[in-house]
Order: sequence, then structure tokens, then C-alpha cells
Amino acid sequence: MYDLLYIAGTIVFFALMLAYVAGCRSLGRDADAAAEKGA
Amino acid sequence: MTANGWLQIAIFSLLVLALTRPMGLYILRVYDGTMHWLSPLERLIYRAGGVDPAEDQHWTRYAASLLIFSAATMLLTYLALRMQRLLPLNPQHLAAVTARQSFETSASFTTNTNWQSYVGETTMSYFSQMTQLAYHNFMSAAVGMCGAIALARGIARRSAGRLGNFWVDLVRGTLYLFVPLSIVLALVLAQQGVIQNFSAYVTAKTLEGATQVIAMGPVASQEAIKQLGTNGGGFFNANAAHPFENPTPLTNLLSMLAIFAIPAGITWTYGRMVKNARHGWALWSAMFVLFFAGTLITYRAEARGNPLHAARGVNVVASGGNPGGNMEGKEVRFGIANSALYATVTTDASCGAVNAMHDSFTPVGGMVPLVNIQLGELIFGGVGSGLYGMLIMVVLTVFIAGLMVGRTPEYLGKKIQAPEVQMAMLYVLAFPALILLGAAVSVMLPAGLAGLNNAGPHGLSEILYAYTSAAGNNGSAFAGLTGTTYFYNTMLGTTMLFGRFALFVPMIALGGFLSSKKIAPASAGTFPVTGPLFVMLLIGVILIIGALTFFPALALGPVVEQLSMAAGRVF
Repeated sequence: MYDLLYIAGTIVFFALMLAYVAGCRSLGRDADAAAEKGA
Repeated sequence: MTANGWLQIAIFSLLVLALTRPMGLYILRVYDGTMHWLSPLERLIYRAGGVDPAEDQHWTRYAASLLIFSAATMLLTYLALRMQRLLPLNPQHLAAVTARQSFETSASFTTNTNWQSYVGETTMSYFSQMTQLAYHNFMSAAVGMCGAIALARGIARRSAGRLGNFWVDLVRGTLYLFVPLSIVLALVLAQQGVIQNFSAYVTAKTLEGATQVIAMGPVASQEAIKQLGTNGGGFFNANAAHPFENPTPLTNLLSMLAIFAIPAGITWTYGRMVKNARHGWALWSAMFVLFFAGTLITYRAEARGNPLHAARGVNVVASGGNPGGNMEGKEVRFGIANSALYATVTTDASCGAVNAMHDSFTPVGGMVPLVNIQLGELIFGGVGSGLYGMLIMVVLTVFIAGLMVGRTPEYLGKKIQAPEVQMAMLYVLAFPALILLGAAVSVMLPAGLAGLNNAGPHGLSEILYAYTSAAGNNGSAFAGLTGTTYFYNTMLGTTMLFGRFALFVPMIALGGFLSSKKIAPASAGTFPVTGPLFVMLLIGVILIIGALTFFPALALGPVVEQLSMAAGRVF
């Protein structure tokens, strides 16, 4: 039972980090676009 | 404090300075691809892994590769520890590691933390030590170097978000940097008396007639990468205070040099990569000033000792046959100067190896290791992570300097704009949030307080240190906190994961963003990043961010404890 929780938790964590990568990418893209628009 | 103690600190400092350039040059050649003496093996690994070494990965792909690699190796280690009983090289027939400790330990070694809530000699088989823990010692260190080199590439070149190839950096870092250096150091350590065998534990009769079990094992090979990779996890529970891990004054010196060698050298590498060698030395100087200040404070606090001891007639003044000061928790072999120096070095870097128990330091002496980690472990820092932590601070420094003079901040010809500052702030804010929230939850819950062995401000320091060490991926323990519970194993393991990867993602994103920018030539208005003014401003930013974030917690822990001790009360 605990094995399942820890393994699932680890997989969820790394999936979250991959989503974080995508989030940072979109943040950079949005900010770049805003900066270009402002300029 | 003694002249002998200062002489040893001065020799160590000079050796770090002397090592910086040759080590930096070696690192540069490893990562710029000009070192080839293991190329047949390198090519074989790429072919076996299906890697195209010519691929220049976008930062998102670079980060994803790193995350997937770390996830896979962490899960593999979890399973290996759970199945330890069935695996070979287990002469003591040690049982499977519990689920909670397997989680924490696999998270700990994957993240280069190497926090150990277990007793190595009674928990881990030789197989687990060598194929899982030592493996992660190499890999987590190589991953840290990947982060620093990728960020450096992003700053140094214009490549539309492309930062190199994670798999190539990982393989080259392991093959050319960590493995050869570890082999050389392991041989020297073995010559000095660090044991290296697969024997069953020895049962000995002591002079008093008692029976003592003396643990054995392949220690030298693990010890070398433990220090070079700023991992810190000891083969034995006593870590580098154990005579089989750290038997002589020379091994003690070599251990500390091994911890600082790569983090110091990579500042030189970075200077060459960005074609501004003086900037690399400026970073080195800022790191050295902070290192020296920490050593001075710790050494002074420990050499002065506890005033309550002096009040009770204990001679705390150093003399020929008496080290004086506070010797509680310290090895007589190393004395006060080398214990203070080691504690500073191991927490400046993200190593976590200890040759003395930080819990037994005076409150101010123990606060320095705590603060060193809380500043972000950028005082030379962990392999790779020290440099990228420092570069985040450089970006903030340049940003603040730009605001002061009313110019768009620029760093090495690249404009620092909103996305870069956002990534730097995500990095800077996530770290203290992990520490302070984790510590706050632990002091509020019975499960968190149940692990405490000391009351009052010292108890708070123990909890704060545990989360600081976990989030900072340091791994040194303050001791005094029983971490072998479901609560602490799970909380600290999770903190380690966030402390490594939730900081890594914005850092690598920053590198990606910067790599997309034009490099403008320096002008009269460009803020210089080489002179004493820059070094002082950088140190100021590091200290202000650290002080503003952690001072309230420190005031309730070691600061109030120091004042209480002066007033005659200890905890």
C-alpha cells in the first residue's frame, strides 16, 4: 500500500515538474510577445 | 583561536585558489567537447542509448530529458532498496529498507542531498551502497553540472533557446570528470587507510572484555565521489568523523579540497565561456569573501566555547595539550579549527558530509552552517548548483543596479527583462517557501514535534535545519531530530524533490530565455561585472535576500539561544 503511494507520488511529482516546464515556456512566450508589443 | 588553526585555514584557502584555474580548464575541455581520450566508450554509450550527440536541444527538451532521467533512476533505486534482501552482496543479510526510508533515500540521493535517516552500516547492503547510492553520487553530481553548463551556454551564446544536449553533458561529465577524479582520490584515500573491502563485519573483543562489531565495506570508492560530487552521504553513520572514512589529517584536508575543487573551478570555466575571465574571478571572489566570513565566525564561536563551561571551572583556553573552546561533538583528531572549517565548507557547498556534530556547536557556531545553506548554497556551492545559484543572484544584482541608474538592466550584453526576472524570482522565492512552510507545519503538528530531542529555541533550530538541509539539497543533519518517522521521511523527501527540481526548471528556463537574446556590445553605461564594486553589490544582494527571508526564524532559534546561553541557560 505504502509502496503504491510513494511510487505514484513520485510519478505525479515529476509530471508536475514537466507541466512546470511548459508553464515557464508559455510565461516566457507571453512576456516576450508583450515586450515586443510594448516596444 | 590559535596560530596553528589559522595556518591550516590559510593553507586550505591557498590550495583552493591554486586549484581553481587547472580545474576550470579541465571542466571547460570536458564540456566544450575537446577532450576525447574516452571517445570509443562515449560513442558506445550514445549508440546503446539511441542518443544523437549532435542534437542541440531546446531548453524545454533539455529540462524534460533531465526530469525523465531523474524520475526513472529514482524509481529504480526505490525498487532496489525495497528488494535489497533478494539482491547479492549482502553478507550481513540486511532486510529490505522500509517503504518510507526507501522513498526518502531515493529522493535524497537523486537530488544530490544525501540526507540519511538510516544507519548505513545496519541498513544498506554493499549492493545498495555501490549500485544505487554510489551510482546516484555520480549521476546527481553530473546532473548538477548539466544545469550550470546549460545556463552558462544560454548566457554565453545566441542560440534561440538551445542549450546543448543533456545526454551528452551527462555522459561527458560522468566519464571525463567524476569517474577519473574519483578513481585517483579513492586510491589516495585507500593509501591513507580508508578501507575498501567486501568482508563481513568483524566481531572484536575490547580491552574491557565487551564485544564490538566493526563494520567493513567498500568505503574509499564511495568516499571519493561523496566529496567530489558534493554529495555527502556517509558510508557509516558517523560520516567523516569515522576513522574508516577520514583517518588522517591529510584525508581531512583532501576531503575539503575535493568538496570545493569543482565548484571553485567552474567559476573559471564560466569566465572563459562568457569570454570575460575577470567576471569569473569576481564570482570566485564573492564566494571566497562569504566563505572566509563564515569560517571566521564559526571558528571564533567554537574557540570561545560555552561560557557556562568556563563558569564551572573547565579550562576553555587553548594550550599545548588542550584544544580549549567547545569540544562537544568534535573529534579530538581534528580539533576546533578543522571542525569549524569542515562545517563551513560542507554547508557552503551542498555536500553535507560532517566531521563534527553541528548540533553540538555553540548557537552562533551552529547558525553559520544553517545560514550558509539558507543563502542558497552558492558560496562555491554544490557541483553545478553553486554556480547556477550564484548566477541567479547575479541577474538580480544587475537588475537592481539597472534600476538604481535608470537603465534597462544588461548582463554581459544581454538585456534582463520581465521574463528573466520572473524566472529568477521563482527560483529565489521557492527555496525559502519550502523551508519556512515545512518548518512551520512541523512545529504545529504533534507528528513534527514528536521527533524533537531538545526543547525551546534549540528544538526550533533542529527542525529549521532539517528543512533547510533538505530544500538546499545539502544533507547534513543538525542531529537531535529523530527523522525516522513516516512524517519526516515523507515531508523531507518531498522537500528535497521540490528543492532540486522546482528550482532547476526556472533556472534552465532563464538560460533558454537569455539564449534567445541579442548580445549588445558594452557601452559607457554598461554596469561593470568585474570590479570590487560589483563583488560588494553581489554580496550585499545575497545577504539582504537571505537576511530578509530568514532572520525572523533565526531570531527565534539560534539568536535567542545564544543570548540565553550568555544569560546562563542552555537548551
